[in-house]
Amino acid sequence: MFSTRFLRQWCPRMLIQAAGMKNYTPPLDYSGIQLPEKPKLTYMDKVPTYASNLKPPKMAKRLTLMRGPELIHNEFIHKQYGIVALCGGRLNSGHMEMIRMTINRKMDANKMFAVWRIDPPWQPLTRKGQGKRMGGGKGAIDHYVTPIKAGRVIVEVGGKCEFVQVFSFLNEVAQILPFKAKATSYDLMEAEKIEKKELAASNINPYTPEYVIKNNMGGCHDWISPYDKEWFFKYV
Amino acid sequence: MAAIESTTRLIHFQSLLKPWVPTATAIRWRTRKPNIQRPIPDHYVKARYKAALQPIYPDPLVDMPWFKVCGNILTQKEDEEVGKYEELLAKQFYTRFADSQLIAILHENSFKAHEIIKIKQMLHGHNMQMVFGSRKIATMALANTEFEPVLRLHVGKTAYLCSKDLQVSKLLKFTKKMTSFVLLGGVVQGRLLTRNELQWCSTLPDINMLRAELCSILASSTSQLSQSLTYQQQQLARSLEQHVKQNDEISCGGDS
Repeated sequence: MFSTRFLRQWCPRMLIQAAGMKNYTPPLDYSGIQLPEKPKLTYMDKVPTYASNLKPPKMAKRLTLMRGPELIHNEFIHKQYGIVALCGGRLNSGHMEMIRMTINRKMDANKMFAVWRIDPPWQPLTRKGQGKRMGGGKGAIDHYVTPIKAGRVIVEVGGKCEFVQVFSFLNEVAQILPFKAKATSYDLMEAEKIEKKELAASNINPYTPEYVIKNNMGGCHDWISPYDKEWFFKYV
Repeated sequence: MAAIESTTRLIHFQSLLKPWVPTATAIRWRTRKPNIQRPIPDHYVKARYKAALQPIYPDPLVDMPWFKVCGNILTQKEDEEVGKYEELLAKQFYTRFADSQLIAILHENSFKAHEIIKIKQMLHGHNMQMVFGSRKIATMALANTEFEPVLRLHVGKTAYLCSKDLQVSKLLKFTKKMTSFVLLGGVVQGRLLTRNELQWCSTLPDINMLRAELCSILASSTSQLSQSLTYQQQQLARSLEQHVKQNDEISCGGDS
């Protein structure tokens, strides 16, 4: 008596079962994608190799290596999926092992491949013995880390797969990382860039941090940091 | 003498010991390294600046038509997905329409399979075909074509009887026998007609006969002229023939 259209309009929460034509979409085209010989993530050395005559050098803390945005390694080479850092931080060998094991275990090696986008740990971090007093020189090298800046690509995953297939394990890894990170795809990142531009264009506030800092409005140059002149309050 | 020297030295020392403001000093400033992952809360002045410099976006509903501003209009038409098979069916649908000279538009009531078998048997050999299709497929096939007005009649389940011959009376006879189908109208040589107009169309004589009549009417004046011109010669020929016949009969009768 009542047509499905009538019921759908007036009882929107009602689940109406109707027989219709099934739309069999053609399978996705992955013809342009080549899978490498070794699809899994390689092992990363915990300690960098030095010449036998060289004493492993100690290094200053260099927080600037974690500060600010990543300007170079912030895009996907394979233009598919990966993990991107949203905040600066350090990755040690333990984190890298976790990433490697999780991704190698959970990915389908016949259809996907994964690639590191960071160097193995190279920055030496020193530690004094537990309970030791101040003084007596710089501590001994405890372990090595890789410093990461905000926006850096950590790992890329590609192949004959969709984002939905890789998101489960990439997100798992991203949540465990010691800094804020997310699993994204190339398309999502491009869309974000466009959205950012549109938002910046539609902002009707004539005063932006860039304008205020460049024009020293309110004498802000008295208290802003030199990094604020570069990053305009976006990064610490 | 020694006493005067020592007092002058004391006076010098005292002048040096007077409180004085140095022109340049070293201060401890920004020596605390920032914690990148858990930054300290901003200073009051910086926080005020940041709050004032927050982006302001205009209201998206300003200068919008009333039906977008009204938040009560919730139903959004979903875009219908068109599959490859549906495209194929639509193409087939259109070719059947395009090939036929006569199409009967019938409302489809529910029927059993044995009824449709009987109908197909009835139509077999008469260059006729039943064409079934949903509104979606019919719209895909006929929109922006010469058969677009037919879609006005496609309300609910509708079927079409397509005939390659131009015999309206035969078509109507078959449609009368189809009890599950109700005749709504028809398309005769690209013209959409109502049911009554189809009935009238069936009463019309055969078009070839009418064409023959027209040809004869057009040729009548010339034929009359030719007839009048050749009348005398024809009469002469006929009378001579008669004579020959009579002579033959007389000669045959004389011989026997």
